[in-house]
Amino acid sequence: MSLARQLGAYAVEDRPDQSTQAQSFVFRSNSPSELLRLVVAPASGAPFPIANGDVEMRTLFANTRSTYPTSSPYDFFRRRVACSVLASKSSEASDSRTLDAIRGFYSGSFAHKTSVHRPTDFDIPQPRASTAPVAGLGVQAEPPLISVIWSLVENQRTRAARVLLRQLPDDRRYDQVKTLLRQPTTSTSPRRDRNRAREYEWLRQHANEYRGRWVAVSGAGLVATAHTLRDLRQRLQATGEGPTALVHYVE
Amino acid sequence: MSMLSLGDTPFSSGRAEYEDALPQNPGRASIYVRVTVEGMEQPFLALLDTGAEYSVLAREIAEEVGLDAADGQDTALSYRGGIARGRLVRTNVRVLADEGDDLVVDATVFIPDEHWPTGRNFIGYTGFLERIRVGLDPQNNDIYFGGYE
Repeated sequence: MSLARQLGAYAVEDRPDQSTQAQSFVFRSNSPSELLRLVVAPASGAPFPIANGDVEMRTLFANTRSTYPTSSPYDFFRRRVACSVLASKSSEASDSRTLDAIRGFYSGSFAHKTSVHRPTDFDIPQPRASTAPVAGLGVQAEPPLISVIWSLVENQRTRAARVLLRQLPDDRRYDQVKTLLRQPTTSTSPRRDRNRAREYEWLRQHANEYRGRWVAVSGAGLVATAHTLRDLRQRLQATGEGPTALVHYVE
Repeated sequence: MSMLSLGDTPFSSGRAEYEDALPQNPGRASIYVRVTVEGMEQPFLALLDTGAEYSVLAREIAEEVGLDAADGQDTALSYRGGIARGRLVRTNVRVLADEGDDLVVDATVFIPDEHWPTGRNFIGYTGFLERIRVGLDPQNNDIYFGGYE
């Protein structure tokens, strides 16, 4: 999944700059009236293109004596990241707003705080001459709701994601997410298997002898063993025990 | 066939013996139940984990039945060993009974990419257990299970 999609960015320059390998993303922060630009680049190697108004994350966290996160659902901590506020109706200082927004991104909490507004809700300023413009920006008509839903899933907040599902338009493009996130259904079916007490006993007594291998056990005996499941199943076909053996990988 | 009832309401439709003493988990009680998936007739073991957000199907098994290439959503899953990348897919998982009926669950499962311990399967809460009644009889290593009407 692209970083742009994870962020829910709806205005994106997703093409890496040839000289710096940096990517730019424009997206909404926790505040629905605020737009931010994020510049992401590899942690080392090419020069990092910080424009006027951009604040590099490590500098920002150091200046505010905040703890730099050690993990992030967006894998930022292994890259160089800079951010700037492009548009805000907040009277707070830009650095303060940026820090709040970035804290949210690191924790993933922006997702469940974000409400969906159409891009016309924003008052996007014209780029200033001293600020490098974000090249190739285009505004997508689609709201980032689908990205917010997947961010919630990645943060193990499926119930919240299901609430947002109801806001998705009735469109075939969203059939998959609705299918994946709906509650399971169950049905009964005539029993196929038999009691496996003897196979369990074999595993307790002998599995340690086959660590790192797949084993197939039927009754009280080993039927086949292999280093891959595919090989094991092929051997089972040859023995005639194929459908009935219990298969298990011994860690 | 209802194995257990809550008053007049059937609670479970099947019973199976579970395994809780595999040598790979010495000293730790872990409940393994027998399941199988469409495309693979052989049963295999999955760890019952009510604390797991999603169910996980080992990549080797997914590849055998073609689920690794099924329609789904790329995502990430946090687990004790870190964050695993993979794909959420929808598929039928059959919980195998020793008595009564098997339970077929139209479940959402996570198929991890190659960075996942070989052969490790989980039955988790979302997309699986959330619509199953489960009762345990630890003195007899029996699990009772049933769906909702």
